Amino acid sequence: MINLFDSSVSRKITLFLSLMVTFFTGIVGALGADSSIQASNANRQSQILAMEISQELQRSGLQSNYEIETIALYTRYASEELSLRMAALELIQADKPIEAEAMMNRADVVQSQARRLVDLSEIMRDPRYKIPDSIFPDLNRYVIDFAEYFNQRVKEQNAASDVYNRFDLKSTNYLSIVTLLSIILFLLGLAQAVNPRLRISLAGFSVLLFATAILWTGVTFFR
Amino acid sequence: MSKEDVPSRFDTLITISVVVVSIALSLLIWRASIAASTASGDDRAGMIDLVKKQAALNENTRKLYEEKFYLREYELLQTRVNQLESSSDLVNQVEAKFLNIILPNLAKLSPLSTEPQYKNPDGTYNYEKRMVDLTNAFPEAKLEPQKSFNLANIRYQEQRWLMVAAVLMGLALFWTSLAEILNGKLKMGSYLIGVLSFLGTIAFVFIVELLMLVGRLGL
Repeated sequence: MINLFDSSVSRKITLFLSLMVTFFTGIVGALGADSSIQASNANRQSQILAMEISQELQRSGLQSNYEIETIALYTRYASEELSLRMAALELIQADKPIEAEAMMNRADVVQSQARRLVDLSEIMRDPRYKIPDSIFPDLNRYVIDFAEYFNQRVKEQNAASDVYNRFDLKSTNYLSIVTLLSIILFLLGLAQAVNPRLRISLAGFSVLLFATAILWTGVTFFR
Repeated sequence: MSKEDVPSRFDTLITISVVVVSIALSLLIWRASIAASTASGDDRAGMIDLVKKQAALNENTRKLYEEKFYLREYELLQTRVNQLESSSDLVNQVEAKFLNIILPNLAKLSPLSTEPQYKNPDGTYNYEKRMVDLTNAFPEAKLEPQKSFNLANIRYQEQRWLMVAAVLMGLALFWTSLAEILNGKLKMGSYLIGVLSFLGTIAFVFIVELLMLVGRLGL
């Protein structure tokens, strides 16, 4: 029968516990380092995506501005052409052929400018945004595509941010566990210097704390 | 001091071994922390490069659209002039002549309208080529942050594996220290396991460092 209160036995138990706790501290330290690395990687990914989104926002803002302005100009020239041709028709009816021809010439100039604008616009040439029987592009579709792209990118960025938060929390928990383990090591060290009865009490309390640390590590690992 | 209190040579060897393993463990943790710190530095360098690159890209995009706006003005006027010139109307001819004076100056505002390399045969423009040329003219736009990120990844891997090695070294420390409190064959067995764990961990660390060095040189 082992006498726990025997000085030599209690010392050996305390020393064995110290070794176990030291080894377990190493494991928790490694897990903490790994979580910290994963958090860093996710944080970096989240920042890269945020920067890419902001760059794309700037680019698409400029593009939309350019395209919408081009469409507005096209509308202006198209309506100007229509007005000029209607005026020309009225002049013909009023028996003023020379003025009517001048008006038609003007309408041709404006029409050629409107056609040139189509070549300069990406949306107006893109078959994805073509509306059958309409000269204007499908701006709703354009806005939907635009929003879809950003929603997707923001989702990716949020996912990376969530991964960062998860691993950052894990890393913080592991750090707290290492702190708890260092307290246990202190108690076990102290136990070596006191009488066998108190030594066993301190060792018992350390075992309780050690069990808590193991449980906490398990919960953190599987979170 | 009684004869029982005098430590045997084997006990002294165990104590020295525990000290050696402890020092090796400390060195491993120091090395892992150096790897982590360097990885963090590489990450930061990559982020700085990325910010610079994005800023250059933003500026290039802004410049490209500025040029596109001027090009549109030029193209509209050029089309107007062409149409007016083809007309037999004297007023149109005069207007075309007048506008022709403005055109060259307007063209100068955008390289897209002056340099034929950006014009496609179908009358559209090669904006991608212009963007590539703008990027080439901007040194920051050619920065490669991914290289720093890859380097940081290797350092993080190094840190991760060194921490694994630290756990293995902890195991060696456990067995060598356990030999202090055991007796007889168990003492010898525990010590041998500790020494073997120690040697195995040292070999593992060398392999890790070698692989990481190869990885870094490969970048």
